Amino acid sequence: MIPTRRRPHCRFATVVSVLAFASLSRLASGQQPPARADTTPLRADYRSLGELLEKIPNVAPSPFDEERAMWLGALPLACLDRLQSRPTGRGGAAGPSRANAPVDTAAARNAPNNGAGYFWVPNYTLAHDHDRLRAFWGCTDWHSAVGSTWVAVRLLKSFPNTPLRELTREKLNAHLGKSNLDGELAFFHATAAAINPIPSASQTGLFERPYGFAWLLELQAELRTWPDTQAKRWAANVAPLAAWMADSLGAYMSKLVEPVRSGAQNNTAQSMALALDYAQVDGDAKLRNAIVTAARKFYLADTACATQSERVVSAAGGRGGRGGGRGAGRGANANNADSAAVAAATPNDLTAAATAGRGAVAPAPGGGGPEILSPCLTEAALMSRVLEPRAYIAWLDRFLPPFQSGRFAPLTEAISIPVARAPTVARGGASDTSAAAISAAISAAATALATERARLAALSFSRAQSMERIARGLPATDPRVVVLRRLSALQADRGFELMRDDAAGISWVPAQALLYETARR
Amino acid sequence: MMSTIHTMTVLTAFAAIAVATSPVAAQTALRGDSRVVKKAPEFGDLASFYASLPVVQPRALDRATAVQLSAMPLSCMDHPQPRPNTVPYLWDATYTPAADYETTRAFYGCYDWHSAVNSAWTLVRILKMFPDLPTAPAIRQKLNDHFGATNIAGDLEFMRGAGAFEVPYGYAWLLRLQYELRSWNDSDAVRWAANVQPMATYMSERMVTYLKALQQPVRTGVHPNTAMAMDNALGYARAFDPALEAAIRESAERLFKHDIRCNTAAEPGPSDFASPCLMEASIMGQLMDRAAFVPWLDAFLPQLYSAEFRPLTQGLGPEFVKNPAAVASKSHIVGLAFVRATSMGELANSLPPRDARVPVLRRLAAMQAATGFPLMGAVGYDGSHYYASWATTYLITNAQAPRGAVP
Repeated sequence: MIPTRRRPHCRFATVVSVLAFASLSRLASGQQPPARADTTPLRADYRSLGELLEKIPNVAPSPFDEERAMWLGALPLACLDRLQSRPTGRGGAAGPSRANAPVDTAAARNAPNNGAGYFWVPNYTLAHDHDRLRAFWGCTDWHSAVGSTWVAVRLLKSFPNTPLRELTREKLNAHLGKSNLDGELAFFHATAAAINPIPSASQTGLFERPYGFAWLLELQAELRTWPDTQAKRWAANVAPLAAWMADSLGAYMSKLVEPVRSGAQNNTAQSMALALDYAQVDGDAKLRNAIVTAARKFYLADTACATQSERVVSAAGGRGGRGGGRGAGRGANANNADSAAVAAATPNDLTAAATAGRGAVAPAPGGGGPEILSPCLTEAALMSRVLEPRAYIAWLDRFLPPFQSGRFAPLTEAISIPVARAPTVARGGASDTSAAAISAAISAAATALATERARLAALSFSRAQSMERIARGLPATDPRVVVLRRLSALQADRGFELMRDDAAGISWVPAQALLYETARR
Repeated sequence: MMSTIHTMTVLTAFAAIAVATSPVAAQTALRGDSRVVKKAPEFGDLASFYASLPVVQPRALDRATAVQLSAMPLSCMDHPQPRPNTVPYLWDATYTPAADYETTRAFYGCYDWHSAVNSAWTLVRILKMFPDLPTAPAIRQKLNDHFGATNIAGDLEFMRGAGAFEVPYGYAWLLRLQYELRSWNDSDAVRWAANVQPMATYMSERMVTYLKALQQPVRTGVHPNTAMAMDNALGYARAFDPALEAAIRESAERLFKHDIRCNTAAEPGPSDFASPCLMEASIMGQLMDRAAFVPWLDAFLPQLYSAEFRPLTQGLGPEFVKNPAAVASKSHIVGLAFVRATSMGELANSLPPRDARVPVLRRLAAMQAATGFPLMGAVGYDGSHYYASWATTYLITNAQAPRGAVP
């Protein structure tokens, strides 16, 4: 179903490359000076926005046409009925035994584990009548299933005559029936009632709140605004769950002490933005009020967002894009060629780092998952919908560094494409060179690379989406608008390139692409 | 969880003792997420600040206290950890206790793994100090049951396959436990130490890998805090494990040495049971030469009498515990009193004995601890499964001779 059309790689010689950055670590967060080690110079400031504009490759945004819509619309159809996998906590009735003793490999050590099976050993069975009593049981996880359902709805709504229309309606009917949604609501009631009030390593909050809740509200916002006979029925089925989640999410936002500023799916601004759509469509003033109040409380005083720390480091051994090391990203950087050495001796001011909230809290490795969005751009995009236009411009001037500055450089570059690395066979153990071991290592490396490509595609789309939204919040005459549009086209283009040829992200990347296409309109 | 935190309550609730005796304490209020100090007396120097503090005698670790503190871990070591109570979405789960858990698991009580480990540590530490305590036979029996060779071997086998579970907090506590066992001249302890050693070796290696790979420290005031893990593991590392000691030193230097102006004004964070600023200062005090440490601390920690430091001079007391909705913070806030007191005591131990901050830190530590002790039973099992560990830690830190002091 995936169109195989390939555009020639119309990259300019000046394609922005983060080649040289790929092996380097991100800077420390916040306004604090760079990390002690693993630091590399940012490129020097450009003199003006005009100079930056000259350096950005002029990528024409692809049209959001029927063919692209079919591509994006076909992917959710492939995952909506694929069961979310059985929990990975070791267990089974017998529990771990000598016979199947855990293997202590580097991979096993890095695997997430909440201690399942230490004392209470679980035995899993598929929930009774899951296809009748649950709605979002496919696509890897709950919020991805909701997001994929939203993709199906959104595309059918925008392209009602798509060749995929019957197939899409068939899926939506199967998942959005009344019994499915009633079962969902019953499940969430039970989950909320059972929640453990003591925070612990194994349980940190209400299932799927806030991110999944926000997605469900986005789905309902889409259904509510679709004058279609079937959609009206689906919307009526979803409404009680949406109302419950809107209440719950509003309460959550009101009580939240500090926002999550990570680049992962638990980012607070991201969930706020999704839920705002619903609050507007539904006329839910209470939810809108809770979000706007919290957003102002958290973000209004923020200044100088650390865009310089948003450089992308590919976990799968990215070795840079295809454009070589020349171009905008590696412009005249002689000025700060030795800034890494300087940075090593720079004091790390924790009070200043924390002016934008409790910034002394460094993002924990793996906390909240891998980075799929730009914290700075996501916050800036949200605030365009929270503040009045004039107040927004003043706030944005304080919040984002000048786009031509070196500090903003990471967001002016397309993310480099990770390339395959020679698989590491039998690393850290006896040198198992059997054919099976080699084959397993190659397969694992391929999976890791595909997963990484999917993540970077989503990150590109998220950046592009935020840039479009920021541009919309500015007056058309603002010189930053044209820069933002050019940059968003660059990011989105890379996103589609990364997304092509891979099935690793089908459960969630299309939704990110479509959020961008939606913001573009 | 953030949603259960009632910040207003946290910051406006102070220890009865501080409120009663100090005009300083009741003046700080929190609005939203920004700290506003209202009408707080300002102090121009340490002496006037010290003079304003209530006189609180530090509590000693006497026999009565030891019995009380040993009773808490005795009561939880065999209290099985709770059955997971999440409602499954798609995969229904039925749970049974691990087969033969009494012989294939060591730390299955006291709510969670790390609390079971630090409870065992508490029993070991107290028995070591008071071998003829009335509760001594019960303590020995409990330790024998849990430190059996098959218990530890089975536990280690599980942990080897459990990924990042309990890294670094639980691992560091296990190393602290093993330090006490190996440095104890007792025939039972020699056997227990031999049983625990493979697990300690494994966890020490994992800690080395973890610390070396860490690009930024975790600065939250809860379990993953990096400085706290270093602090708990340091005794074992120094005594028995040069590779771990080197990793701790190298990581602390890399991650903490350039830090300045720690943001004490923002403490405590939601649900904190430790002070990130004090924890970091405490570990650096133990690692750095005194000559280097004093200027580092001067740049790192705000003046003890400053408004920025004020939140750390105040205890959080019974008013807090009356709020029935804030169970999560309730349990941690009492722990916070002991952990802060420990860090302050450690800091006082690391400074030159004549440093003017030493008596102030000791007084502040005593004030913190004095808010904690009356509340040890206030939140039931949510607190009783781990308070004794941190109370004991405070008491032994407080009784410790300052570094370099002539005995």
